[in-house]
Amino acid sequence: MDFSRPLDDLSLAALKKRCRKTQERVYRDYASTAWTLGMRLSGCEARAWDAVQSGFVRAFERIGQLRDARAFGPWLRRLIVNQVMDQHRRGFVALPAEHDMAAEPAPPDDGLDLERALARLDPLDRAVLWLHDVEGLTHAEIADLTGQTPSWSKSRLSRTRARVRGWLEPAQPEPAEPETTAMNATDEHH
Amino acid sequence: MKTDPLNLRRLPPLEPPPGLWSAIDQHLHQPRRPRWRVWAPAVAAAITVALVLTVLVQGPEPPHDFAADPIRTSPIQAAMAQSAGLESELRAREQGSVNARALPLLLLLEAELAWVDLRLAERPQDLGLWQQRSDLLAAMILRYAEPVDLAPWSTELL
Repeated sequence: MDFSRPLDDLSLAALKKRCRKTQERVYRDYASTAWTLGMRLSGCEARAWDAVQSGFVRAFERIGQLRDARAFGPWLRRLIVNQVMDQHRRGFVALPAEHDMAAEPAPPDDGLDLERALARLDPLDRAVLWLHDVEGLTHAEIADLTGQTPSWSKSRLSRTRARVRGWLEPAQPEPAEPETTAMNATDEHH
Repeated sequence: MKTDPLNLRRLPPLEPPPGLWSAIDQHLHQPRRPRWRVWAPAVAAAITVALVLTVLVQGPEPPHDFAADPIRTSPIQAAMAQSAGLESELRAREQGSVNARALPLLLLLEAELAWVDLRLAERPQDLGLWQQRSDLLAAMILRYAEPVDLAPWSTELL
């Protein structure tokens, strides 16, 4: 289930009564989507755990304030993104340098795979890229979540895409001459 | 046809660790102390310290002069009273709906308030902390007082 899939009215009513079984079922429905978001944005299991746990806890605790069941998914997504952004602002869970992907040596010539390239990005760049390209948020919505302006989001996205493409698409090798020589040798042999 | 190497949607979905639901469930259903029981010990300690300081600095109280001003409150007592009043008002307001746009700020203010409460438990006589607490409560009350509007998901009524 992704965040755009609506919650049904019965589930919303049960959540408002703090029904434990419904809470677990709703958690199971959204768990993979929420965890993927937490991991992709934070790039770290401990931070993702913190963000996703806090997101679900706040969503279930404040469910009484939600009127429209259809808004549950987007609301949960917003809570999780807020948690990750908050972690980033506070910086209290910053990883030590040896775990900092950005501090790793330059990628090898054969490039990085997409997952590693994403993990290598600065947290804000990663958030902008993921929220726009996967979650489908507009620049205005990203600006709202990150406390920046839409033009900041646009330029950050453009710059981030260029960087990741540079990592993913290594320089083309020069045409190899020995191959021609080898072919000629084979021809001579025949 | 060449595929876009930067297509993030082709990354596989991830499965959460098995213990995550237990942690959420425990957080939701563990018996918790009401908020007043969290900060009441700090308030009690602050009053005690304030009284002791008053006696030490001023010496024994002179016989009560009924002609004089009836009640003199110290700045810290006034700050505590103001904080308690704002807390009551906030408790009354937070039962209602809140504008979704105010939610991120409210979450932040709530976290700040918890942090101030923790520091007050250590330094209950700190007037600055009590004033900071009142400022945070007042800011939260203002957010709850904002009109609720209907809008797309990003500003959906929460």
